[in-house]
Amino acid sequence: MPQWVVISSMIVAYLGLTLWVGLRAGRGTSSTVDGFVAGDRNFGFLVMYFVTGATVFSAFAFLGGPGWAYSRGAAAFYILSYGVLGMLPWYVIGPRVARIGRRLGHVTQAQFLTGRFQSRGLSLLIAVISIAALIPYITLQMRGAGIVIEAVTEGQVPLWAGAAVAYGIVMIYVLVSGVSAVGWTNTLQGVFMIVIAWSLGLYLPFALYGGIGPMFEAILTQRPEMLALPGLTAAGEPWSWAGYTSAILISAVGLTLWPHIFMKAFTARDERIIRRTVVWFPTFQLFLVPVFLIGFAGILFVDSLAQPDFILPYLILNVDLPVIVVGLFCAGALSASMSTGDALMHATASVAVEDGIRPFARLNEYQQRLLIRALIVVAGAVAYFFAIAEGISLVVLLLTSYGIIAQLAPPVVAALFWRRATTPGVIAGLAAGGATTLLFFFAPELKPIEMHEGLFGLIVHVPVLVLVSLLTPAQDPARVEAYVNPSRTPATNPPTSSTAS
Amino acid sequence: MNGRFVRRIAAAVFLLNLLAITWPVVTLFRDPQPLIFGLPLSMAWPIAWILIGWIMLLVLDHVEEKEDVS
Repeated sequence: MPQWVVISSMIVAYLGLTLWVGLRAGRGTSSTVDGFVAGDRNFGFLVMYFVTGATVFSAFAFLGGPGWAYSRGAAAFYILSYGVLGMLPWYVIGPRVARIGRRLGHVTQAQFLTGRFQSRGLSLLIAVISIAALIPYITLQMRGAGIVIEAVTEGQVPLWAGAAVAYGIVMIYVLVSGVSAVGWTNTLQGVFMIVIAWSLGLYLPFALYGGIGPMFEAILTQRPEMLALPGLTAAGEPWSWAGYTSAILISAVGLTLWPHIFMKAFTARDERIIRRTVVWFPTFQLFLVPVFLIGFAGILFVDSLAQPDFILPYLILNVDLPVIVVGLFCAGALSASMSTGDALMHATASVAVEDGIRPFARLNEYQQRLLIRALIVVAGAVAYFFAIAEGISLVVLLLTSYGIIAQLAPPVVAALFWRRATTPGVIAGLAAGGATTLLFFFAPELKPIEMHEGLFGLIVHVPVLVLVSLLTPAQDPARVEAYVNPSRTPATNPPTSSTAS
Repeated sequence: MNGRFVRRIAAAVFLLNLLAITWPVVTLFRDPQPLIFGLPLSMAWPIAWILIGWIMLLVLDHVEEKEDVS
């Protein structure tokens, strides 16, 4: 039997198992918006741990991580550096967001922010920012899935078909079971990702060099520049310290503000589970170590690969591995892609309806759920269109969206900790920070130093937020206290964003 | 250990973490040599901070949980 047939059978078995878990996950969840978007706020520790870890680490980490190590060497270590610091604020903010959300009925990030900073325009602005950032992210996951399936089936299953099958499955279980499917499939996929990454990450250096130490000694002898910080740029030139440091800072600031991650605060059964998820996140972060070892294994083994992100599939297919290992690698890569893609599709549709449409139109529970499901299909279709189209630089789009998403940090911090913050201040800050980020993205030659455009955005954002807030009337103290002092505020006020004007 | 003390220690550790992995402090650990457990120093350094951060979070959470109970 040809190898690609065996591998395809393993892929089918894996996808079947995922579909079964996803469809079963929805049992016991209520048929409400709360149930579909926030899982009836009933996720326990195990599911929250895997949802957080598997959602953060996507196809970009599984394929892009080795790609960075292979082509840019030590530059990849910025990804190792920011995770724990990026997740740390969630230890303080996450439980507060969950408590406020439970009390005021929030299921999205914009609802949380507009609960304090009442403005339908702000809700729409956050919805637009979120969707603009999420669609390229979904597209990358779909492409990742398609690339892996095409590679391991020797082209018998082309990219368009692989992406369609994998994401057809994702769409079915997300449509049927909502965020519960995301939770339970991520648990399965998270286990796959960790086991397969560690197995391959330890196996390949031994198979190719006789061990991890000998591998790095060989690289030190022949390509020492690959192992010295701050590594190389994509063009192979030395990366700057400003670029390396600002990549760490902007990623740490933006990490928990991605809507699909932030929204999971509303799914936790209690606040303690959110804190424990943060405490154990570093164990997931260590998943990057074997991922990078795979990339480094390729440096001396593969001369020059036109697309560095293909280094992992390339090694898998060109090292003499048992067919079952190749199949398992495929399951791991698909897990990484689908565990992020499902959360992204679910978040995109939820945000579009809850933040982009509902503030402007009266919808009952049934209509909301129907619309969210319809928009999951639309988001999937749009992302699929981009995924099979050639020549669109999605990685660049994604890196820029990190800068835009990071602009949500000052409003979240202001909502929770600064009594004097006002709605005009937050809107002005977001507009100024977002515009600055986009300006330096489109005109990088204007940057005074080589720093991530999102950091320039924050440097402009924060003073504007503070200044405009101080120049505008202070907010109603009851509304402010519900956010700044959530444990001491009665549950009845203030009104939620759905009644905001 | 009282909660306030541990929270201060945690804040200090995570501030050190931030300084340790960014410019200019990280330049002291930019070289690949020596290899530590077979890994280059430049890679072992951020890994060490992941482990330090994890231990600090475990201690902090343990103390806060005890506070919550009492």
